[in-house]
Amino acid sequence: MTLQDIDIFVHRIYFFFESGIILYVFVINSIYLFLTILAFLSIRRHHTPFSLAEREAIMKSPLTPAISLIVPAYNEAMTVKESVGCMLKLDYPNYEVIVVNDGSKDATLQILIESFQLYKSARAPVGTLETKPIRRIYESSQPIRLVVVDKVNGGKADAINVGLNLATAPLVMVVDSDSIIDRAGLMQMAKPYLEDPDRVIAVGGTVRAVNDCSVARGRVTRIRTSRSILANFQSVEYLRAFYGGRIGFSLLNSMLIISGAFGLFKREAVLEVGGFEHSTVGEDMELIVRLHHHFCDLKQPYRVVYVADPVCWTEVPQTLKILHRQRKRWQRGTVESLSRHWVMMLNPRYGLVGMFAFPYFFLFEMLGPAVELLGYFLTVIGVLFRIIAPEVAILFFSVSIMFGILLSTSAVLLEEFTTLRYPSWRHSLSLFGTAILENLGFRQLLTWWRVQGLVEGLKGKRGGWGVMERRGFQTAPK
Amino acid sequence: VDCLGLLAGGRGEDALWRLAQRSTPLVEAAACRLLARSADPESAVRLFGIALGKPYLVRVLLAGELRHHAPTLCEKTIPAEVAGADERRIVAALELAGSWHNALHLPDWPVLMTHPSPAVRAAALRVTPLNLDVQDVEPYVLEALQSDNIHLREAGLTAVCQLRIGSTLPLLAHVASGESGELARLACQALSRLEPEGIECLRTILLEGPPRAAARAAETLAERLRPSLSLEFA
Repeated sequence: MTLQDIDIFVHRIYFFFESGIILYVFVINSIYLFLTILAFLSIRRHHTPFSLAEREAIMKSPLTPAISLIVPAYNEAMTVKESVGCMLKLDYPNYEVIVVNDGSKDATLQILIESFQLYKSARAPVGTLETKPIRRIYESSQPIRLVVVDKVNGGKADAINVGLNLATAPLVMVVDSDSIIDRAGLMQMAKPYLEDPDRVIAVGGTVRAVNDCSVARGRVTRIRTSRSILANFQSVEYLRAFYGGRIGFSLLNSMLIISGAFGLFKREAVLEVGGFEHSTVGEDMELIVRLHHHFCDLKQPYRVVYVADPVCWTEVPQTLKILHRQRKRWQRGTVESLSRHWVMMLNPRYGLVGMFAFPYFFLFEMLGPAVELLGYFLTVIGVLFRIIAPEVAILFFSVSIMFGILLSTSAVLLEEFTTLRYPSWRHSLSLFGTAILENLGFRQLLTWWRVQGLVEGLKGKRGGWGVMERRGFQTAPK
Repeated sequence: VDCLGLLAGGRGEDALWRLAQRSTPLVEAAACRLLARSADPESAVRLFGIALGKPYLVRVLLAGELRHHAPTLCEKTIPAEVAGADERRIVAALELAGSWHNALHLPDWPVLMTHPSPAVRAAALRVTPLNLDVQDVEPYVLEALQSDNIHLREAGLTAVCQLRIGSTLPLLAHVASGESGELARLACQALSRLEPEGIECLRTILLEGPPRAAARAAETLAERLRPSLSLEFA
């Protein structure tokens, strides 16, 4: 074999990989585009919020089902008073709030006891999910029932399971303790269930960044873009994930994730599958995959739905260090959730979930960052060793970035067409600018972090509560 | 739909009736609500009939408005409706009746209790305390409490909570001390209504029962004797 033959062989191998990656990038972006188009087509038809008259009718209706709001909390002293206060003021006629303090090391419990005049309660758990021991249950004498459970630390899933054991309502909603829900959020989340109570088992809402928005009396009173570019990047990213991806997956009844920060579930269904899983960092995704797995196995008709309108406002990380940890955890969660239910992969028994959503999550959400990184690496190496022309490399990077920009700006446009939360065009313009900028560096950084998460997930690294540096909500001027 | 409601005379109303019967759930509900607001008893009966065939959301949105006509509906319309053959309509009618807490006339209640569908039997059991024509409830309730169907047992326990049937005490004690979950909690509540034997039974479970059952008994006793027992400043 001559030197020239070796050179040709290397070139062929190289082009094989490079073509594969280009095909991969094309397929992933086409799927994103397809989901975004689905979202555009369906958002006006399927995501209409209740009118004022309908809200009044639901408030007066004796048939409105009860909801137990489960709020797991760990070291949330900075925001817990404000967010629980907000949860007690929601527009819904029949609900209770169960805050589960998962052995916080700060003053979370003390703040709750003092702020809401709590009493020691004799309430006993109804459910039988195995959890860490409960130390004490407190109740408030306020008109809306507030129950606070103090328990031994066991992680977020364990805290939610304690809430599930105590909940008595047919519907349970899981909300992060650092979040603020729209006043009509509970009602909007219950809408798909009210439309189809026999089949709907889980409903997901939209999560958005509250950083630098004004909060007064437990409500987000002024919505604006953050002063932190990192928070704005995440705002766009959340819009893309929720408006772009989840609406499409919801239409196909193959949504594999409902955010742990904001999800409504049929209690009976969650108890039937054994509650939230302790041994994974992605307990939210794992539960949804398990629900699909279980109900497909039983051949029972069911639906997992996403609704765009109800918004849960949450503080997103403003430091690279915390964001890095968060993204690694999320990626590990994806790896764990998919590997536990691997039997669903390309299995026609699981319908669209097995044949489309599962392979999509495996190929593009789990392995995607690694392939993207490999693509960047091979392209750079190719240019350096003159295997590929610099023009081709520039074209590859440009197409990849342009696709990203197209998807991000589409998500922002979807927001503008539908919910239109931002008060002035200046904020919308800033968001469009961010949608362009986030593709130039930030997305690539996230890719690198997700690869680290993927490696940790494959190694089987365990984890508990994610650490978040709280700044507290921005109080509106009086 | 709201604009149609403002139109005077028959044209607007005709359009609303059409929309109430064939559209998307939210439009149907909006049309029904507008019609229900100004409905005479006859129209209320017609609306009730429409609502029974619609999705649950429509019934939720209408339940409040139709409540004003509950006496008329509970006296004649619901008894006639439950005599029909459509299982879903029977369950929906009984569900609405139960939510209004209005006295009912169901002379055919024993027929409902022998219906082949457990959902119908459970719905009928839930409205038993409201039924003015009910007689000889005991055998049906006892049968429901021993049923394999969890929804029937739950409905039976809910009925016992209101009806306070002394002969169910041994069964209630068994459920309260032996089983877990929502059924046991309901059994404890039913026991707490059967004074003094039920309360005594709860005290026994509290002292001698398994930990989970004892905790539930303590909760029920505390609720019954509130505020002296259950509330203590943190």
